[in-house]
This record gives sequence, C-alpha cells and structure tokens, in this order.
Amino acid sequence: MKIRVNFLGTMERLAGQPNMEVTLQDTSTLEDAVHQIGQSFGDKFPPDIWDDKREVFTHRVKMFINSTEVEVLGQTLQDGSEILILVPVAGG
Amino acid sequence: MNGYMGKLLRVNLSQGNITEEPLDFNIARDYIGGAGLATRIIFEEVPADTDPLSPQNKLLFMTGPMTGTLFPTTARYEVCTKSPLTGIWLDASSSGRWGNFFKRTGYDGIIVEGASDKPVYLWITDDHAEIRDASAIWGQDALTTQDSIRREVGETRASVACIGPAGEKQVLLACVINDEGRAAGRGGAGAVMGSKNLKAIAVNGTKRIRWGGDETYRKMSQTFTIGLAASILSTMLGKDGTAVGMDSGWVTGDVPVKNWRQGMWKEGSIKLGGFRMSQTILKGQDACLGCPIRCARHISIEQGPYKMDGPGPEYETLAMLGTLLLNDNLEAVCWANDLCNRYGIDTISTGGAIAFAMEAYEKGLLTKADAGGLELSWGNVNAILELVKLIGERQGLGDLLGQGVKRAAEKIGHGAEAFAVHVKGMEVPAHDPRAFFSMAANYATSPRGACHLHGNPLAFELGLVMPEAGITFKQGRFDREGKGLAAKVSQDFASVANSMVVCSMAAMSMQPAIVAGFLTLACGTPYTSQDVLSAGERIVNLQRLFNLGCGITGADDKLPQRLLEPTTEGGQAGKIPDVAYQLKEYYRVRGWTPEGVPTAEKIKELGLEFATTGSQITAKG
Repeated sequence: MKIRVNFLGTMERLAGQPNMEVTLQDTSTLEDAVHQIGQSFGDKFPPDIWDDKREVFTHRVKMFINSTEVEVLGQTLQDGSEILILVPVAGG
Repeated sequence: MNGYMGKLLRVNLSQGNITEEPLDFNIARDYIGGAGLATRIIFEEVPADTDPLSPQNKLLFMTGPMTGTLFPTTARYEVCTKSPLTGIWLDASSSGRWGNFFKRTGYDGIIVEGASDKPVYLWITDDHAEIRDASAIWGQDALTTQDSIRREVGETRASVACIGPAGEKQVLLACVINDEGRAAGRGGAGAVMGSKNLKAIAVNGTKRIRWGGDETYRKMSQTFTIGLAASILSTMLGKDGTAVGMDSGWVTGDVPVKNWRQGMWKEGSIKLGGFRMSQTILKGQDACLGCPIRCARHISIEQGPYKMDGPGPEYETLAMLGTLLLNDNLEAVCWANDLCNRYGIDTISTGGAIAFAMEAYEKGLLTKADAGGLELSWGNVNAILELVKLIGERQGLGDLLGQGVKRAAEKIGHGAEAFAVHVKGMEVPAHDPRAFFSMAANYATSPRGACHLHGNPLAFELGLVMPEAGITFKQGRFDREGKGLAAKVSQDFASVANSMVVCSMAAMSMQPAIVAGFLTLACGTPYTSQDVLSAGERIVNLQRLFNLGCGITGADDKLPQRLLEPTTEGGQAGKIPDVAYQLKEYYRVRGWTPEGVPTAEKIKELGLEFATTGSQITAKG
C-alpha cells in the first residue's frame, strides 16, 4: 500500500521537502512508516526530535493520521492514509 | 549579592525630584528581582483602591540579578503597575537592549510616582538621572520618539523606552515600546506612563555588572548558551521566528480563527506562517542583546501599499491581526504591526478588540455609521488598518475599542459579552484552551488576566516534565486530571523567570535545579530548587492578595463564554475543558480555599503574614 507523509513547518525545513510517498506492505503500522521516514531523513533530524537508536521520533514530535492525532506507533495504516508530522511550539 | 547593582531610583514627577535608595537584599532574596520584587514594592506602596491613571499609582521599571550578565536573554526589563485595563496587578516584559543598558547605569530598578504637569522624559547615564522637558517630542510616534531623543541627548547608542500617541491619550491598550519595535505590550502600562506625562526613559549605562561566581558562572552560562543554540527550539525560532507556531498550530487547533468561532483555517495559517515569511519578505534574523535564539524578524516589503522595512510580526500578532480576523494578507499584517508599534498599542488586545467589533457588526450591534463608514466585514484589510489607527488615535469607534472588549461589550449591551473574549478584562492571547486544556485553568487564574506569559502549561502537554515540581510525565492535552497542577507549577515557574527577568523561551529550557545553580552564583546567596519554586509561589500568592484587594474574587476565575463553545472543525473540534473541575484542583494544590483565597497556613508558609494585616487584603476580608 502507499501512504502520503506531509512535513509541516520546521519538519519541512529539516526534511528539505514538503512531503513524501511511502510504500509499505499491507497491515503495516505507523511505526513501520516512521522507520522508513528515518531511513530517508533520520540523519537530517536533530537528536531532540529523532531517537537514532530506536529509529522513532521523540515526544517533541506530533503525528496525525488522516487528521486524527495519534500517540501509539502500533496503529495500523490503510492504503491512502495521510500522515502529518509537525513539531508544535509552546509559546510565541 | 553580586548580581544586583544594589540601588533603586525613585522619581517623583509631581515634585520633580529624584532620589536613590538601597536595595533591601533580604527582600530581594525572597522575591529575586524584576516582577517579583516589584510585586512586593507595589503591594506596600500602592493601595488597592488606587485609580490606575491617577498620580497615586506607581510605575516600576525593573531588571533582575542576571540582567546584563553572560547568561543569554538577559537584556530584558519588566514594567509593573496597577493596570488601567484590568484594574488589577500588571507586569509586562520587553527585551531588545534596554534592560541591559539601564542596569549598567548602576540601578536595579526605577520607581516612578506622581505625575508631571508637563511632558517630560528621563535621561539616565552612569550613576546619574535627570528629568528633561519632552514638550517638543510629545505627539511623535514611538519610533520617531526614539530617534528624536537619541539626537537630543547626543548618544546614538542610547536605548529608549517610550510611549506613542496612544499612551499620551491614555488608550487602555497602550504599551511601552523600546529598541524599535520591542514592546512591554499588555495591560495598558503605556496609558499609566501617559497619565504621568512621562514620554520616555532613555538609558545609556556603561558600567560593568558584577556577576557572581566569576569563572564558574561564565562557564555555566556558556554551556547553557551552547545547548540553547543547538536545540530544536532555536532551530525553529531562529529559522522561522515565533511565526513558526502558525505552521503547526492550525493542526492542533491552537491558532484562533474568526474571533475564536472557527476551529481551523489551514490556508490562512500557512499564508501567515513563518515558513512563508522566510520565503518572501524576510530580510534577516534579529536578536535581543546576548540571545542565541534570534527569533525576531527583520522584514522588507519592497513595493505596493505596504512598502516598509523594519521589525516583522511575531506569532501572536500574526494570529490576532491575521487569522482571528480572517485576514490572510501577510503584508497587511506587517503593516498593521508597524502601525501598532508607532501608536504604541498592544497587538494582542488590538486584534482582539477588532475581532469583537467585526462580530458585533455581523450581528447588527454595530452599524456602518458607528464605524465611521467602515465596512467591518471579516478579512476587510482596509477596515482593519483603519480601526488600528482609530484605536491608536482614540478617535471614533477606536475610542470605545481602545478600552478593551470587556468595557466595549458593557457599553454595546444586547448580549455582546457572549463574544467578548477576555479574562478579567484582558483579551485572550493566541493559544486556544480548547486545544490545550491546561490553558483553561491558567487563563482563568493568571494574575494579570488572560495571559500565556504568566504560565504556559501547554508545554507540559507537549512533553516537558518538571519532576521537582510534581510534573513527572507528559500530560495528554485533553486529559481531565492534572491541569490545575500544571497551571500552578507553570505560573510559579513563570514568575521566577519574570523575576530573574529572562525570556520565557530560555526559561522553558531550564529546570528548577539549574535555575537554583545560576541564582546561587549570580546573587551570591545559596538557592535550592525548593527555594526557587517557593519564590515563584510567594510572588503569585502576593499578586493574588493584591488582586483580592482590588475586588477580584473566585467568581472572576473563569473563561469567556466563547471559549466554552466547541468548534465543529480543527484539532480541538468538540472539545471543551472542564473549568470547574480544573479550578477545584488548582485551588487545592495552591493551598487556597474553595473560594480562591490563600489560606492562613499558606500565607504563613510563604512568609506573607504582613500582607494580611495591611490595607490591601482587608478590603475583601
């Protein structure tokens, strides 16, 4: 299946592109998608948002699947799912 | 007490005299400096029933023990007074260079009292202060005023904190402007300055600040600065400014839209966001003296009706003069921001007031004739800019809106209070408590009315923990439990930051133990983590006692009706915080009664017994 990943704000700046398409096996989870994102961009993400050992984002990063906020990496994805990835700011 | 200069200036404008007095180091230890120390001074010297715009009110400009040291973000200052907008406690903070340049004249703060019978400004150099005639500059806008005074004193380096025409006319949204477009924005401190006929305070200190700890302090500051500069926070804010909050805030529902009625406006938020600004009109990053974050923007619009070159808008301004009004014209927001700087009015409250007027117009409670012929439809850029001018000049409908939405709603009547978005008279800043529930308890109880700088607990909902203060794990933003504690801890810690007089962006990168380490060295007296947290709690409680004396009760600790109505779209759709539940928890963890009054035990614990025997608290019992 194919899913679309959109990087917002600072994530777009760090990734160097606004979005990407990820191809996954059926029944894949958000964690599988994050691992693939890390393979493409992990070296561009600083350690306070990317855990290089676990190959996952840190708590500073929020993710939404089809506009619904997700906290659990085990959530399964559907063909055509859209993931938003952003780093919220607590101030300004 | 190495971090302090050890002296305060007292300026009596009625008598035209200036005196020096020593800083009470015992009090300074308990209140740190800045807003904390000012709380103690104002509590003792300004009776609660004082008319904020009378000569009896006092206006304090304060620095902290770390101001001007190697610790980053310490060029700030705090303006403290009784607010004419809310009628309660006010401290407003600004940065740039002024705080550093003032402290280096040899003083920790200024207490301005009385009122001059003609326009004046203060000129302060090393160990010297004088009152000068400001008749020739009265009427000038806040940016021109700074240039005029620098020319008059013959010092291009001098830093000037001043009011614009709005402060002179005592518009209740008037602020204090310094170092081009930096603002001590909220609560009407500019109107208090205007009521005293005080146009400006110009400073040019060159003295060396003695800072404690010497090499140890230097190394600690350097290490902290390097860490701050390398953090994701600095990456985000440095690259795209605080405006980066627009780029992600529309997803979570944090960004207010259409006077808080609409839950999300993706297209508008992105058009006003930091990423777009960087790609179009950004000329360069700018920084307060000694700050590695560099979140300030210098923008240049090279052609068209909004051609300008100067300070660009921050997140709050982009939201309050942009999305809140359904205005997605970035260049027009920049122009409105510049107008606010020149008139010297708070961009947050000004945006809130215009949004209120647009909704009143939509509902037929204001007419085109009321608005001087303006069509107050959502997103009407010309109407927005004209209303900014009218507020700044206190003309026409601007006279009403410049008193804030609470008073405007009372005068318009017919249910207008239902969409007047304020707490205790202070317009709500651009963080939606329906998107981050902890902001509900925070806004409801903040000592100066709705405020994100006297507590910003949404940081705890984004993953910040503070185990020493009981915040041991990341809170869910829609959780029911823990919001009262989050608000309490965040307010106490923000009070510490406002008393050290450091930027909230730096403060968010510190834990109590780190603060204690710096204060120990900067002040030359030992602080523990608990001392730090107790100082914050002491300051918040004394501000509460002052506010109770001003007539505030627990019934005033509430959210405006609009923020208790769910939106149908956005990251906060269908969500409403349980404010009553949060307040119950908040009062409990504060050690306050169910009515929101500090208990005798809490007052004793914090050493505030003096506050319950004086005139302030007896006003409400």
